[in-house]
Amino acid sequence: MKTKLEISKEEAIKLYADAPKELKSIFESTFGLEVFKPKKITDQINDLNDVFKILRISYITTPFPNPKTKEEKSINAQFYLFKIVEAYNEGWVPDWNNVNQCKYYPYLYKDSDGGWAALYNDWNYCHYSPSGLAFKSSELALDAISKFRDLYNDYFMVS
Amino acid sequence: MKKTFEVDQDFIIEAYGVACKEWKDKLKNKFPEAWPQSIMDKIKTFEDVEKHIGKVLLPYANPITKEQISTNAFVKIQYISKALNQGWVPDFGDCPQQKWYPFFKKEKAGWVFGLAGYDYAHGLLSSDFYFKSEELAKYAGTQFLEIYKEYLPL
Repeated sequence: MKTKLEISKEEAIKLYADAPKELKSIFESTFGLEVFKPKKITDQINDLNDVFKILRISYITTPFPNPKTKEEKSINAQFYLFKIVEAYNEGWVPDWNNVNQCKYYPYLYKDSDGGWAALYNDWNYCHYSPSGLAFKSSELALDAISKFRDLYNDYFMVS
Repeated sequence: MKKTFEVDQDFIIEAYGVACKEWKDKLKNKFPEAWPQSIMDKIKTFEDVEKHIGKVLLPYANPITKEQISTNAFVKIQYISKALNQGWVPDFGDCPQQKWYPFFKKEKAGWVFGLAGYDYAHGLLSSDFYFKSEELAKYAGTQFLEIYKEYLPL
């Protein structure tokens, strides 16, 4: 006797990691291999909720719950940025004693229109640090600043 | 018999300008208070910063975690730069204007001052981390190293 098993794509994705090899093959042939490929961190992060989900934190209390000055906003922004950097880096921690390991920072510049809308490039340092907001790759630094532009503006105090 | 004269500060400074080296030294030693102090002479401790800017309210009265200690240090650095810059603020629209900041490097004993770097129209850090001169950036990075160490990652 044959029994028909119906399973949604979402359920299959959930079961895939612990499924036996034969079942994995069935899932892959049914839904396509691409569905089960682990998502890049840049695809997983689009907003702060994604960051909190990845870090498994429900909320954070900022240093200044009611920021009044741009300085207080800058400090609050940095507080969030530390969480963002942590999520993007996926457990990677910069080794500041390792001169061969580059660390990446987003770099802003004021464009010819006088605005801060343009993203210039990233910058890397191997041995010297100006702050703790270092990413493990250029791609991550650029992705973070494109998605969290308002926070970076507050941090840089250019908003 | 000794006679005492009152002399204007401007007179002493003018005399210093035309004096030979020997008399320059004599004038400096005799009238130590006549010379204008640089901001670095005035701001040597964080208490001096508070005297200059006002009492600083830190977000964490009793910081425990590294995150809290670092955040308090960030606030202190904001005030240090305000005190040392004396009203100067970086203008990223002003390309020829150099904006200086201290860099640190990690050694076995921990973070030490590395060098002073500068930006023109590019921003790498919060505006409050910039100084108006290389001298001030170096001074901040060395004189207030302990505060920067609290700010920097472990």
